[in-house]
Amino acid sequence: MKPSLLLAAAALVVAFPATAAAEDPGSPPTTKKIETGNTRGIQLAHSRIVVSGDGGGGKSDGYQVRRPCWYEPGKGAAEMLAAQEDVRSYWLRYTPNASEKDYDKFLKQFKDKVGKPGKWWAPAYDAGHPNGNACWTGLDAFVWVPEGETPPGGITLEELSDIARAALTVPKPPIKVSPDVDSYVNLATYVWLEGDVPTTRSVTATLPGVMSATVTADLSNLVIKSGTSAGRADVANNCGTRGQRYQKGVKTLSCGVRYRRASIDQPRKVYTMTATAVWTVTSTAGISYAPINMSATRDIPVGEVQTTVRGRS
Amino acid sequence: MRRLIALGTLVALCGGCAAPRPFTPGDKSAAGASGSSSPASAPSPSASAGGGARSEVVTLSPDLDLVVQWPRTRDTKRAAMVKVLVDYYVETKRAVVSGGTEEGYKYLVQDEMSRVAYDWVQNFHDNSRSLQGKARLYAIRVKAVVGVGAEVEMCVNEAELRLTDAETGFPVAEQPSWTRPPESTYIMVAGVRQGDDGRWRVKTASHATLPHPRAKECQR
Repeated sequence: MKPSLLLAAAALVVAFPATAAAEDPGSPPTTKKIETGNTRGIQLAHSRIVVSGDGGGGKSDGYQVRRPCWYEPGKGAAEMLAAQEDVRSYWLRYTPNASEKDYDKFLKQFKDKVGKPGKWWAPAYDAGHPNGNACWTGLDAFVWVPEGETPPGGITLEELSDIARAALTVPKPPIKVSPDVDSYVNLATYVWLEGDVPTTRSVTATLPGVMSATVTADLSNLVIKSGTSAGRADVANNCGTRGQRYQKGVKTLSCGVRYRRASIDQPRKVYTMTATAVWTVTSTAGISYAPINMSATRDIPVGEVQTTVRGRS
Repeated sequence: MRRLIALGTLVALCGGCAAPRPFTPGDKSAAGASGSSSPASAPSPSASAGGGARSEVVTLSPDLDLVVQWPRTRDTKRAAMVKVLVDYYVETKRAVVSGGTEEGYKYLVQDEMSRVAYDWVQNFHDNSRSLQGKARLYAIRVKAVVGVGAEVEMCVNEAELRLTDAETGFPVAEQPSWTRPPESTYIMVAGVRQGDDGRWRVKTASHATLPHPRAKECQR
């Protein structure tokens, strides 16, 4: 048996913790159960990359990494050889028609690397990407890479930045409007963000001992859409990052909507106003990313004030 | 930072770096091994290669049938991806009912799945267990293809399977939960890879049982 052909079979025995054999014989012959309820923008699989920071954990805006699988540096030559030697008897059992001679040939390629500077690189992928699994499956189980080199498909700083970007989430804007219940034709509806809203969020993706990239989102401004045509509403969009809280006596509307027509003829008899928080995104890797737009909507019922003028008689 | 930049630059410079090739057990059978990389009795999607779906019953023992609902496809490459996943399922069951004499499944897997499949089959033998009844494989489709890798999905219904005592041939008194709804229906998601020899093998697989959202599409 060709040694190179035998490489991957034992390698992954070492790379991953042993999957529990079916306690009841017969449950599906797979490696794991599929997880439920994931809302992260990235699911790293078989990866050593560590994602940290205060910008994760929310709902993903849908950003996907450009390449969903890659190679990462892993074990050194001596460490890999020792790991392969540990699974010798196992290897002989699950490898079809394998002999001791086959195993010795298989092991030789690891022995040959001992004493040479470099590492075995292994594939990893984003399991949240629709092509992640297929992409990872197409990669080799691992690749020997001399020191100072990177294999084709090896992870780059730009890709590490993309991973941080995919993990980056921003909160839905907690918008507040005044008046809060019903509005009226020609009455200003003020819009602002309520509470202690963070204006900066960041995520760092680190390949330990090799490199890291930090992606930061800064809240840059709030954008209002009235939910109707320009002829039926005037929109004030000088909102800054917080909007304009209603203050008694202040007449100027800088962030909000002044509806000119009643909403009685609209679906559900309301206008659906949208407030979008725009976050600019920067990366320490020098990558340009499109802003993240996170929107929230509010129903604005707009009525007409009926005025009756009576003359003195 | 210099190190980071250097790493990124080297990616472009190392286009010719040699990489070890993965394990391809099919070569072993070509060299005269007793097992087969494509067992003669394995099911085949050939009738569906012309575009028509068909159902096939694979009898593994007098007491065990597998019903395969082959998908419609005119793409021979996709048909091969689908076939290796079905074959993997069939051959692991064949290994169980043969009591260990049939090991064709070892030629259909690589890397992590070599170990998983071996452990799965061995668990039956170690516990003197076997199978009877009927399993249904359906809604089989290729979800993604990237280079020589692909993701294939398959629904499995094992509600009519029974765990048996391998020595007596009778169903064990306390049947495992996977023989009963909702666990008896699941979706299997596999990563399959085409080796340098042109053959497809299962490299990884995961599953979800009802009521997982992924398994809901398997309800019929």
